[in-house]
Amino acid sequence: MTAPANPLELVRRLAESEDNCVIYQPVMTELRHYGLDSDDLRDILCSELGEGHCFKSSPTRKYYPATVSDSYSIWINECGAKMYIKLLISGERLVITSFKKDERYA
Amino acid sequence: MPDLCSVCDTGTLTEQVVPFLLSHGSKEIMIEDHRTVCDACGAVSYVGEQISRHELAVASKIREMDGLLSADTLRRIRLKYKFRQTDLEAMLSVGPKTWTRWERGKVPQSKTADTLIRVLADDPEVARRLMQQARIDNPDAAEVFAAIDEDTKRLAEANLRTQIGLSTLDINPEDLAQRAIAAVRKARLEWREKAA
Repeated sequence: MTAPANPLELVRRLAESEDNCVIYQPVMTELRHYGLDSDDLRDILCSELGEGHCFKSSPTRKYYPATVSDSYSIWINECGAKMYIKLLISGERLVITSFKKDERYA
Repeated sequence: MPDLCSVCDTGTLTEQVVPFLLSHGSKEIMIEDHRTVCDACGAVSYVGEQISRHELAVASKIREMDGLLSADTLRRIRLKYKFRQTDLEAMLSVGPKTWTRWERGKVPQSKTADTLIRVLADDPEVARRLMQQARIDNPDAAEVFAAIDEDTKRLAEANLRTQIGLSTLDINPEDLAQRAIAAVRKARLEWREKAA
């Protein structure tokens, strides 16, 4: 377990409203693949994600270079799998850069 | 001042409306996509209300391609019977929040579910049966079915009164209507069992 660099309280607050969110295209594609939508993802972030799900926190290499990304692994029933979620906070925006099956459990 | 791209640190982020090729099964169709794109590195993201706009456009196009009921129609069907979203999830044996998602419009229902929804929308007996099978306790929906029963009875009575209007026999139309309704239900049940 790793402590997330982006406080979960702030992640939850930002995730409450779509207006505060940025979602990358591959995340949208993957959500559709699992029959989920962005509201589900925001719900998961608000009510299911805990510090215990965070396993890595590292400077963002590709997107948003001046920020730190947190990587989470969480079981999502609808997906029937442990899912990998990567997010960061940039200014007043929650940026979700990754949502996919956690291959470590594949 | 326009936002700079955080990926390449040089490009400018702009909201664009560009054609998006949607692949669905063996079909492909183009939709207009509102997105944020970096003019230098081409990174694509959806910001704020672009997220829902994209999801609604995609789901709506899939519904159109597959000839599925719209999200609004699903809502109307549910409210007609005063079902809760969780009731329909139990009745259709789909996962939690699935009906909610369909009604929200961002995720289309499957063709199989769509077929069953059309049947229960058209036939209150199917809706009632699915409700009973799922052991749903919903007094509001029960009231709706009671009202439908009452209406069926009234129609049957009126029909019988017309049929026997000229008869001089001592006939109780209400009793006859009840028997007719019971006979219809029994026949439907036998037909279903035979079909199964």
